[in-house]
Amino acid sequence: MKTLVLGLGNPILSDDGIGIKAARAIKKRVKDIEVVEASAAGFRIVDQILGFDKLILIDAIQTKNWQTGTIHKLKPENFKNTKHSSSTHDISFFQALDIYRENGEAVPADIEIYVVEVEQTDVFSEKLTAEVEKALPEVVNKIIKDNFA
Amino acid sequence: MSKTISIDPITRLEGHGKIEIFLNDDGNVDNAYLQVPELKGFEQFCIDRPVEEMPRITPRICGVCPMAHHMASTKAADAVYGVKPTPTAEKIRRLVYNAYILEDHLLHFFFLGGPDFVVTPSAPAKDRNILGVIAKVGKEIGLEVIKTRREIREIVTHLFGRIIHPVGGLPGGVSKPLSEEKRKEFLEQTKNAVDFALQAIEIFNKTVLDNDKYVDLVTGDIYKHNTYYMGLVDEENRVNFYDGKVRVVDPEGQEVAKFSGLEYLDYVSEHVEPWSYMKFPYLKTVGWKGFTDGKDSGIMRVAPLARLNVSDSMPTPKAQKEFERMYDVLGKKPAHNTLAFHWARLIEAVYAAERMVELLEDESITSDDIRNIPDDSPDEGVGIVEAARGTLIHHYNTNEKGIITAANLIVATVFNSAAMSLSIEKAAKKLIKDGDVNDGLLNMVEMAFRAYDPCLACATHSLPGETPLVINIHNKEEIIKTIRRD
Repeated sequence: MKTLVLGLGNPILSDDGIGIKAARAIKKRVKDIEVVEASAAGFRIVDQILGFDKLILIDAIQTKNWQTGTIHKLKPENFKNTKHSSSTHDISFFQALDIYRENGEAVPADIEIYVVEVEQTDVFSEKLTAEVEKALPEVVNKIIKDNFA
Repeated sequence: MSKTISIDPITRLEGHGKIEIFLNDDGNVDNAYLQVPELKGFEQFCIDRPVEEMPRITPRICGVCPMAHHMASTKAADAVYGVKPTPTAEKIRRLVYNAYILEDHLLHFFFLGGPDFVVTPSAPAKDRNILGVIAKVGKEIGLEVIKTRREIREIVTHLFGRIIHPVGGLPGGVSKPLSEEKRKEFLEQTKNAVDFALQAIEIFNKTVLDNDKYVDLVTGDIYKHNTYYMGLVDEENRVNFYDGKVRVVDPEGQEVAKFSGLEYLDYVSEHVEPWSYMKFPYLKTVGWKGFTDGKDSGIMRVAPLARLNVSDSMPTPKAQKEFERMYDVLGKKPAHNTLAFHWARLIEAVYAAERMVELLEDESITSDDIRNIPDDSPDEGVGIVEAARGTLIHHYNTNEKGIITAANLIVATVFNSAAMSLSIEKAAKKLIKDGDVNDGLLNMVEMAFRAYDPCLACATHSLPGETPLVINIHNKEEIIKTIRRD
């Protein structure tokens, strides 16, 4: 089975970089694994994941309902979607995925999403805030334990 | 997992795509403003880094236009070191850059802005998307979009390493040559892309030009603003995305400025408002006269229609034919109709594809002379390109070791920020009367948005990854109504 680990976020925008930092850490610890990082959304991500059976996606999330640093493992169906986002550039990743699937493209059948609740995503910095920094090894360990142990 | 967790995108609303509309005592619109999230500390982040790192850092600012930032940054680094790319390197850069424009414009037409037209503007929002477009134009077109975009993206990935975070641009050149084998392969793909771009414009022409209601919508007064326009042109005043001089024309089409590099400081100034972190650039020689259009107001617009408005013609034959057709229908150049940005975008897509064919037909593009090594002392430099969304300026100062001491970026969305507020105000004035807010307001505002194709939350990509829109309507004391699209 071909698995892709995809770290999402922006590594120069503080906590938004958690997904990318986690993906890089996993790459160091797990041999023969495909890891891609992307600071993008929607179609621009889907273009990266075609041809894989399984996708492990890591990203920051800001629900403001969870404590900073909380880790959750989710499925695409957990994300409520609008069919027409007001985002002028792109539509949601999950909608893009549906469109590709409906057009017969080889999108991964199995998708797992690991998210970390973050605090600060509006300051240019390569550093995570303290609670998110603490969550970094935890999310890495969890992903390895769940998928590669 | 035993419990179901639902992620509601409303949680991401704060600061994103927020529109504030202020009513007067009679319940009519006084002012309307667009607010976008503030991202802090970019200049500070750049300081003390080597200038050659900037082409790798700046694409991270925006997941939508990474190539535009990469190229503006690479050109600024050329200027800092006083080095010119070799002729081959310049051809490769132009090829990659036109590929980015083509891919981005096609994405916009079929997936983002086009649905308003192809599916019809009055269709329910849930149908105005790519699925609606495919239902209307046929599944094979949908597949062709995916295939063409993939092929174009492969050209960029091959030459510049990565599509999202390109690394191919270096001061004085590029990092990788193009082989003869790949040149031939890409040439064939690119010829198909020309056909596909023409097909896209045919779809637009058929749906829009054959329908009087659409023609009225595009040519009508809605979102029409008599502004100045700005964009890069070549020596013959033709559209160029990668290089040339920045030309500015007034609302009557007369050239009022032509500049390059550091001269931008003589022509561009930024107005600041207390309610917005976003600055409002304007033409310095005319001055800031508030949120108003006309010859006396220095508000300029950028992006596809602006580029065509500042150009005398298109550099390639098929794009030229479409250019003439558009201005025939619009009746006047410059055209001030904001919805014609969509049309201009498709004409540019045809040009980008034709330009790629020209570049790939030139066998000298495979030379291995791809870099001039900088040997001058670094100091200060400006790089200007046309991003898909308009003029983009990177300006760096360094010390004698090439370490950044100051950095200033003016991005396309910021150039259009004042004009976007004008369009929002116009929509609001039309649809809010005596305190009564028409339900169509959100759609009208969204249509204006999609024409400009602005970058709102362009640097943050955390999930759910969408940019919802919220409109707050205020009377003197409080918010009386909120409309949101989540």
